[in-house]
Amino acid sequence: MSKEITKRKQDELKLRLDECNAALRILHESLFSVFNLWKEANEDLKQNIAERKHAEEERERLLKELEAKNEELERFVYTVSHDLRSPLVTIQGFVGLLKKDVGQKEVEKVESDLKQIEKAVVKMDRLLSDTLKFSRVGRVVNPPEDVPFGYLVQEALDQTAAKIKSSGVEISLAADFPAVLVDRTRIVEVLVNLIENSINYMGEQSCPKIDIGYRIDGDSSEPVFFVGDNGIGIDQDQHEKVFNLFYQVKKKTKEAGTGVGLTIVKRIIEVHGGSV
Amino acid sequence: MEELRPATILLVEDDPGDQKLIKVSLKSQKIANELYIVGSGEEAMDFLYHRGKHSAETPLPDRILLDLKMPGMGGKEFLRRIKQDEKMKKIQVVILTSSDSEKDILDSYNLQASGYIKKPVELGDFKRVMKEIEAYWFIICKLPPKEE
Amino acid sequence: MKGKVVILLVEDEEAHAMLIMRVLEDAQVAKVIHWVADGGEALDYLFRRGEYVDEGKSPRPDLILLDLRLPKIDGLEVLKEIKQSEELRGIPVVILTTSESETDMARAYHQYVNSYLVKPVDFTKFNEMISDLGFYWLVWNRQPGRMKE
Repeated sequence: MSKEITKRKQDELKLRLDECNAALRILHESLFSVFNLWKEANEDLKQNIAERKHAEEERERLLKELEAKNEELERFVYTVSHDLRSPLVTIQGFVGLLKKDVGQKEVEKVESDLKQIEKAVVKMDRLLSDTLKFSRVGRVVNPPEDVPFGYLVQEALDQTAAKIKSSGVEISLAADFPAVLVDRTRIVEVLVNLIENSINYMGEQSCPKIDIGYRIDGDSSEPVFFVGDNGIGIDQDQHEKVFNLFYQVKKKTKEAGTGVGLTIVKRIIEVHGGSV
Repeated sequence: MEELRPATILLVEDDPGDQKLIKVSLKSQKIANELYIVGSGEEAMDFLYHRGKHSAETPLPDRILLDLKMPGMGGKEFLRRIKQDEKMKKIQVVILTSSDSEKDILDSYNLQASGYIKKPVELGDFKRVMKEIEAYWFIICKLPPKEE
Repeated sequence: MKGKVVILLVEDEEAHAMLIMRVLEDAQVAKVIHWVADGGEALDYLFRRGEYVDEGKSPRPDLILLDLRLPKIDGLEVLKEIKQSEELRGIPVVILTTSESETDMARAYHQYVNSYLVKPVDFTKFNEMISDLGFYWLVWNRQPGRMKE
């Protein structure tokens, strides 16, 4: 009797155990699929975060770039509005004086008034065309060319030949030049600007000279090109300022430029990833 | 050029008679200036720093017309204090006083006053000077940029 | 009481300097207008250095008209040096510029400029401004060492 009971009990227990096992297996399977789902979701999330972080970094970078651009634009607008208004004040002013002087028949004064007006108009025109030139730099990009630097120098000298001749400047060149990969038109423009600048600010030099060459500094493999002269030069404390739009070191020189030349030079070189 | 904007003026003056006279003379047809009047240096400080009965958010004045001889803190001490404050120092202060002493003039400039005007004794002259002050300081001169 | 009224004009634009001098002369505001074209020369004049060592060559101005953008030394720097000098502080300095930049204006006010004026393009207004400003500072305003006439 007791044996029978035990046997029945055993069978019952075994059955239960099987049921339990089956249930466990089902549970295990479903747990596994839940785990898989969770893992997938987690991966997604991770990727999402990484993507978002990347996007954020990208956004940050663009924002910084935009800020820099904005700042540059602001400086530009400021300079333009300030510098362009100045000849207008002159023109209006001398027109006012002109009216007065004509009324009083002051012939000499009338003539000098007219001269001032004319000068201001010429200046205004030059400021406008320089402004236009400046705004084009960095926007218009020509494909880079592999050219010997010497060709570029020769091109620049050809463009400034008349000026060099009339000023009596002696030009000395390095014997040879390495090849460079550049936007040819722009670099020639840089050289022309630098050469003209040297001539304009030569001062009272009895034997004016311009020296165009290059050197390799220390362990750097990059050649450094230069346009040097023995003119009045720029004071150390003015070095930074000369590259601001329209800035001029000395206003009293006979040949007055608008001061935009060196700014264009800087801009072109920066677009090329170099420094001045 | 941009249009004139009305100026905010703070008058620091203890004499009620002068207060009234200056108020009437500053009513130009050209611009509607906003004039606030306080009677002492202490009250002017309260006005600028929004304290006491001036705790309401009043705008910072563009210019201050300042009497020198006042009970309490006095004009010079007030001037010294605001010219040491980075936020306040840009406010231009024009001294408007009955004193003509060389020492007062010198002290005022040493404390960075922008101008010094002696109040004329005669009424007609007084009104005329006020007109000049208004024309110069509130029409011809640029007002400092408004703070956002 | 002082004899001659002296104005120091610091202006790099020659045409503007001529214009300002003509207006001041026509309005009979000042007898002597000394014009310098850069900030360095302005400071030499005021601190009596270099070619201005001789006091006869650098009489104390009753008013300084100062442009902002100047060669060599900037107008704001000139203003700062004037306002830091106990001897020069009492001379009114009026900024006369074409710049309406708020940064320039705020900087000038922080350096205790006496006034900040923007040159108007309109000549009638320009004329009015220059003569009014001359009268205001030289007739109405009081300065140390200059008694009422």
